[in-house]
Order: sequence, then structure tokens, then C-alpha cells
Amino acid sequence: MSGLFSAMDISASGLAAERLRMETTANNIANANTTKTENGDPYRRKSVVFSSELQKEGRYTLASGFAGVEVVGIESDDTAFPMVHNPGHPHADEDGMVRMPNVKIPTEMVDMITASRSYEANLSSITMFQEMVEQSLRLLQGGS
Amino acid sequence: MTGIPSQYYLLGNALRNAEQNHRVVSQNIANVNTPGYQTRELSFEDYMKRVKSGESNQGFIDEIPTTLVEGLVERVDGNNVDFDQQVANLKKNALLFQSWSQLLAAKMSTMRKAMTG
Repeated sequence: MSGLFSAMDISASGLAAERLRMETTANNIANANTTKTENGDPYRRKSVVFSSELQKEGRYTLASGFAGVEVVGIESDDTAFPMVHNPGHPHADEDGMVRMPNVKIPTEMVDMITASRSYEANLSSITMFQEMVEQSLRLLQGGS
Repeated sequence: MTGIPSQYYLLGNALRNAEQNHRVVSQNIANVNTPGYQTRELSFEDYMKRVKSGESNQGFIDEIPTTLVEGLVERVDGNNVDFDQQVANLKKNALLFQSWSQLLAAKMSTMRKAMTG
């Protein structure tokens, strides 16, 4: 990615990626107690996979340009479902055990906070770039 | 080229360098959660060398290669972006840009004064 405002596109890709991560985390938390989904299993934790646009190209000069971050997909967490003894649950088996989703609330909270911090940093990068552009424009106006 | 135009070129190059540096740091920040991403930086020394060699007097210096930053602590996922450091870099760079731009503005206004009397 190159061009006059490519710095903004780089940060914007970061914003979009972090927002998606936030949405995925919210979805995980919302489904932390979903014991039955369409395929009969409990809810499986999802996580977003990021890839650097730069690494894909394999070139590292400014000539090739930076393209920020790219979301390559949303993957399911394959860790085993924890079993909880709860005979009164409608989805309990003969032994009274219920398979719960593999969502861990503390992990999700940490994910959420890091996503929100990264989002803020990308946003401030855009704001700073905007100030830089405005400053350059003032030069054209012959101002200070 | 010597004299006043060369100073404009020099300051213009400095502004350009700050803008490019902003892009590199933005890229680092955007990839703070990308597994395996390695922090990059603009090689300022290379840039200064080229300015010294007089290349900037012929025009603007384009396409400075970026290099990997050494000696950073790597996370478990192979990413070594120091978040706080990058945010600080961003701010530093913005201030640098402001300084160059003010200098350029001052030069221009002096020139305007000389012309208008």
C-alpha cells in the first residue's frame, strides 16, 4: 500500500482487526454457558488469527509499502470441553455430567483489554497523522 | 544546489523521513497482536548518510529500507513489538515532524519578508 495517506490505511487495518477481535471476544463471553449449538456440541471458543500483510509479501523496503494487518480467519479452540457435575441440567448425561463450553472468562477479559488498548493506540496513530497533515497544509497557506 | 533551496530540500527530506517513520511505527502498532511479527524501524543512519552525501540536494530521498530491531524480548507467539515503546516513538516522531515543519515555516516567512520588504 502506498500513496499520500497510506499511514491512515495501515492504522485503519489495525482498527478493523482489533474491532473484530473484540467482537469475537464478546461472542465468546456471551456464549460462555451455551451447552448446545447446532451440531450438538457445547459452544467452542473462537479466536481471530492475524497475519502481517508485510510478511506475506516478503519484502521489507518502504518501496513495497506496508499494508497493516490482515485477519486471515477465525479459528475454533480445540481444547476439550470441561465436564461439570450438574444432574439437574437438561443437557446432562446419564452420570449427571454436563459438557460445558471451553470458554475461560479470565482469558477473554485479558483478550478484551489488550484489544481495546491496541485499538486506542491505532486510533492515536491516526490522530497524530492527521495533525501532521494539517501542519503541512498550514505550510501551504503560508501560516506558522 | 547550494544556498536557500538546498535548505528547503533538507527540511523537506526531514519531513518526508518523519512521515515514512510514522508509517513504519504505525505498521508495528497495527501488528502488535500478529504472531511472529518482528518490530521494524527505518534505518535513520542510512538516511543521514545519503543526506550527507549530497543526494538530498538533487531532490527528495525515496525508499529507505527498513531493518529489524535487535535485542527485543520476544513473546511466546514470536512477536516482539514493545507496545509502550512504539507509542512513545509515535509521539516522538510527531514532535519531530512539528519541529521540521515549524523550521520550514520560519524560513518561508523570512523569505516572504525579504520579498515584500
